[in-house]
Amino acid sequence: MREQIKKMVPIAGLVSMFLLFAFTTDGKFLTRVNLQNLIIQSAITMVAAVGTAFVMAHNNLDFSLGGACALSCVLSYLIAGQNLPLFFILCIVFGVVCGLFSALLHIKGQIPAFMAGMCLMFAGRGVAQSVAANTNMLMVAAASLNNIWFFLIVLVVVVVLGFVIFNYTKIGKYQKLIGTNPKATELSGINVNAYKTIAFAISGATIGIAACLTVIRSASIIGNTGLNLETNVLLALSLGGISITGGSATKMRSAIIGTLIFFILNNGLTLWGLNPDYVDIVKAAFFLLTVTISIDRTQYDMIA
Amino acid sequence: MKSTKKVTRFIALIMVMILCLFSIAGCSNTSSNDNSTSDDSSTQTVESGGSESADSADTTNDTVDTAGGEKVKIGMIWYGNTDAMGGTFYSWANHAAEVLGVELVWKLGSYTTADELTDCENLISAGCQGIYFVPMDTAANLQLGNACKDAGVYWATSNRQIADADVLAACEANPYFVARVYDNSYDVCKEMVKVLADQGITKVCMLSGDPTDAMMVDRTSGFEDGCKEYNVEILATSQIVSGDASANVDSVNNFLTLYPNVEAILAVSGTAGVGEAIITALEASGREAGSVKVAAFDTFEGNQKAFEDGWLAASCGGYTSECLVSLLALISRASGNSDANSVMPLTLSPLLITSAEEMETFSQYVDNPDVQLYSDETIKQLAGPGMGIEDYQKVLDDWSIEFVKQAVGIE
Repeated sequence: MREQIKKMVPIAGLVSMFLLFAFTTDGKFLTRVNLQNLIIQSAITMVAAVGTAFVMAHNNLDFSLGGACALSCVLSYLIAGQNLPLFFILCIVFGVVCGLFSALLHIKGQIPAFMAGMCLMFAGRGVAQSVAANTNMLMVAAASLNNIWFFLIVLVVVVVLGFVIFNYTKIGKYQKLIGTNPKATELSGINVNAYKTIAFAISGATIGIAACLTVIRSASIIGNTGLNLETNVLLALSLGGISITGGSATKMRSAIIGTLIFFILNNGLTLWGLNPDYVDIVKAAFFLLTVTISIDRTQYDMIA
Repeated sequence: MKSTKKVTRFIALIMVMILCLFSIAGCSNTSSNDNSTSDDSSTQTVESGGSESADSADTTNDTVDTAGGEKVKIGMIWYGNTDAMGGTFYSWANHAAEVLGVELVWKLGSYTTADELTDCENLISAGCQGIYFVPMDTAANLQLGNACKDAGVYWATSNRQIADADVLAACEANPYFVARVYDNSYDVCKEMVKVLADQGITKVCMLSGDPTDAMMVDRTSGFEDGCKEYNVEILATSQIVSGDASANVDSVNNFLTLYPNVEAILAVSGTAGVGEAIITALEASGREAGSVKVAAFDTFEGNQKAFEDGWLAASCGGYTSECLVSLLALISRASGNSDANSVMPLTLSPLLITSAEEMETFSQYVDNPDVQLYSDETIKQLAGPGMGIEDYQKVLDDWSIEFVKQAVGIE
């Protein structure tokens, strides 16, 4: 019973927060424009979180997100310039390349995935800042896509695809199997490394899509493009109740619920006009409360 | 177990349905700023509010209200309130809001255009009638400007020039763009060269800035043109490495080694450890104190002592005034006190500091959150009716060390 309640905490938190802000903001929260904004604002993080869930399912962390996002944008711009369709395609291609590079470092180089991701994060950020220092990368034309329909379509496609692949194909099921017991998975004849690589490639593809959405939102590429993406995604997934150790407890819904909690809280606190000195404290308290109740503690049982 | 799953799925389904229904079909227009579907109607709403409040919000009034009698609400997207400038403007703006009876809603700590845009959208949803921000890059003007235009919300910026001609044209065509105030760095840099030339200096080396940053380009050009005008030769130039003190120390050491006849060093920025690095390198060079002068834009830790020791010949800083003027112009427009329909381009010359005494005054009274340099009367006047571009520019033009002294009553 206790476990069942814990599993319901993220969705209950989301519903409670939704209702709280719906009833305490004089209707501002439930306006059409505000709800559209929420969807647009959460799209970048949610898309990236969907891909990251694949990596987390096999018990790894991808810290490359922000740097890989910046790197994909910069490299795509250097090749495609203002050609938007080509730029978007290249963003996804370079995102996948970044994911594969992380996988290469992790699998062939025997480096912990989070460390490989961090290296890519710093390298990507460094390249982006160096190029941005000498190149004006304004992409004004991309701004025309900053509308609810474009973001909604991208979001629905990515989330539905992610959900189907994660729950109904070998790719997703094997990630959870690897996360639960990699040795047993290997002994059962499954190519663990190949499936891990696919997870990183999927994560890379979603980073590429997130990079496209970031450029549409900011109409330019600067050294700080994608800043804090990895933090936001990991925080959102944690809020959504994802299993940090991966395995069968990993659910795709964590990406959706967690991201919505993250952005609804940010939005609601602004609608309240809360003193900025208290905003971070309130956020921290809420995050701590949610994660404390909902986190899967089975991995700590051994320590105790 | 199964029943829990069913309940969870049911709640999730309901949530998704609510979000989709509300987002696509729309459910409420109760927000005062939910007028994005028609620019004309939104303009009317604001202007009709303005005409009524224009009558009531004169300089003697205590508060600035909208037509409905509600307080004017302004969204403030600001980088932070923990450093000297950030804390000072935070204090000044809150004080001005108190004087004018305006409500400020702050969003602190956004460093990308995407984050600023998110803040802007949330502030508009919160019912703000005006948005003030420092654009993180040129595109931020366009994106946040479009969001404001769609919602019929006024906006104003400070501290950044718009570097791209197309973006500038698009922003200037935005009827809700109230004011953009940026530093007149070019002229101040020329002045700093003049200070050196007046001391008989003819050979300098220069630490230049990021060539893609419009503000840095202005400063570099100001130094270069100042040198031409006052017959000062630039022996060598090296680009500042922001955040890497040792790299900047190396640059100064290279200047001193390769050009032993160098008499001064120009630096387009002294922040982020650059000023300290220059002085450290000079002190460690074994040269007599003050034998090589420094003219550095922006103030830095230890500048008072650097003046006293004779190393520092000219410095400058103090940009808080432009933030306040931009905000007050925005409040004036948002409350209907101004019927202007185009953006006001305004410039501020940062304070030129040429002595230890001026530096002391600067340290004590400028960029100090505890000191309000503008009187309540001035604040009310600048947010009140009948103010035009000349009035705002005059306030910015009056910004000087002498003004600071007068304001705090030490002269």
